[in-house]
Amino acid sequence: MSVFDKFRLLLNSVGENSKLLEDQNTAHIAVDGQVLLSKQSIPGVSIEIEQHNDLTIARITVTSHTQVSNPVHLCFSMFQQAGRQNFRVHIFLEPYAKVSFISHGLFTTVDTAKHIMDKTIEISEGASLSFTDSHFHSQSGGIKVLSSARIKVGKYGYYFSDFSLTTGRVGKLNLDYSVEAEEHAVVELISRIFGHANDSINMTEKVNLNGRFSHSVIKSRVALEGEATAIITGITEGCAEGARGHMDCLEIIKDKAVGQSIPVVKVSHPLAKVTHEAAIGTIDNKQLETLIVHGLSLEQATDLIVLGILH
Amino acid sequence: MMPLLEIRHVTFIADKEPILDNLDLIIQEGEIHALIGTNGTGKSTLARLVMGCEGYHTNSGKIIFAQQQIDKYSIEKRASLGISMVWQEPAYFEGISVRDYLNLNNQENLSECLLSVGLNADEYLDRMLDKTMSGGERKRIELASMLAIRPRLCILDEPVSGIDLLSINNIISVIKQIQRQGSTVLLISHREEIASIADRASLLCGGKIILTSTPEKVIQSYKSRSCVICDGRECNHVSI
Repeated sequence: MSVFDKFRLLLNSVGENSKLLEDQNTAHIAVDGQVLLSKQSIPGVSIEIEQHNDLTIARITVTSHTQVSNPVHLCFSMFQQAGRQNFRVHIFLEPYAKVSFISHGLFTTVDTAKHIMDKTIEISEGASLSFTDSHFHSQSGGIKVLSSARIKVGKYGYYFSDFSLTTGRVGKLNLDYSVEAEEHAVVELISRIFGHANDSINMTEKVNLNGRFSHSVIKSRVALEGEATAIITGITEGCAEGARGHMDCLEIIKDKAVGQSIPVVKVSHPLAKVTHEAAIGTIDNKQLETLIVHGLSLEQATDLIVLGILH
Repeated sequence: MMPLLEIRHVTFIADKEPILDNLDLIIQEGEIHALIGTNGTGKSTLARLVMGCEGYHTNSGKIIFAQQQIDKYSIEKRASLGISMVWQEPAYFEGISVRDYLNLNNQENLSECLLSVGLNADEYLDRMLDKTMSGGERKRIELASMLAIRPRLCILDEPVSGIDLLSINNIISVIKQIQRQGSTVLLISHREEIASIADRASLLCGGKIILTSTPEKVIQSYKSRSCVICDGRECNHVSI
């Protein structure tokens, strides 16, 4: 079986339809390790790949006023038992372009790996980008993910990001996102992570509300069990009139897991406002009892609540 | 009728304060039994003791359900025997839809259950049970869940709190429907129009049941300020 066929099977196994790799109307990149398996540009979405020995650079441009109907898929896998994957992705949305990306981190078969993803995203005036980043890991706990992103959202632009790592062991996750929002820009950052055993999660998400009436929400949902640890840092700075930011962090911990939330709120304009809420603890007893009186066992109720917050 | 739930000489003390004091109460199988009393008299405490919620276990006395002494049973075990409960302020859940919630035990007729509580299935089945839902909507979902799971004993703690006045008649009909489906209902309320639908009622004051009779008589006693237990102090009665 070719690597590409294995790749297609892997994509299907996480609930995606690998036929998207043949669809002429769907832009995509498919990469195993550092090897480019497939790429496709479509009208309005240009994808250029530059390959070095241990670094691959992708440049993706969406032309102005283009509304891309099918999501652009970025698919990453590693079939070797051990390895390193180093990627830089530059995404540029020209004015009033609208597109969504789905990134698949397919690491269900690898034992030891390092996945480095460094994104720069520029969203021009009135453009809209939705970026869903779903990781699927093996049970080895030997995967390291270093993911960083620098994002600029122009006037009246929109950026939505949803990072999830809820299948398999996290291993070590270092996530560092920073967003600059201009006038009337809207930013939503959502992350959902389930840590097990001795998984280690370190996540920093920062939004600078530089423009007037720019808005942002940072929402983090983390479940931890075993001896997993998580440090979730959310930073929002309100620097302009009418800027509104909110951060909402919920961590559910079981066993000997340790969760930490660090909200940083900075406001430098008298007409800006930033709020935050954080809750860390075991599962709410009233929620458990409500599900139990509906016929679930304690274990079933616990699982359902955890899955719910990671939904 | 046979007793389904017997509460015998139950005492419950919290923070060294007696909340329930040698309380006796019998709920007959198939009836709606209203438990009436002013705020803070221990109605919700009694509900949680019967359900076996965490932190609510009798200091003395017995709770017997369907001829089994259950006061040492876990909440799971009690639920498995057919006891269920709607809290005065139901819990909210992120990421759990109304459909998932009503379908926890693979029940059928979810749409009909929602319709009975005045909610449109097309609009609500895919809604999340999170804070985007109002208190009244959440309470209706709980009542719909009781229609779906058909417990043997259904404890309803203040079922109309958070419900708008215009919808109270709808909730009353739902409570009667729960009974018609075969459930016995312990109906906790301090509202006359709700308690009056019961087959029998009991008045709780000073940690004791001071009267069990028809709803009319119990409501009359409640309103006539004739409490002999607290001499009007605890339940705001002004004279014996």
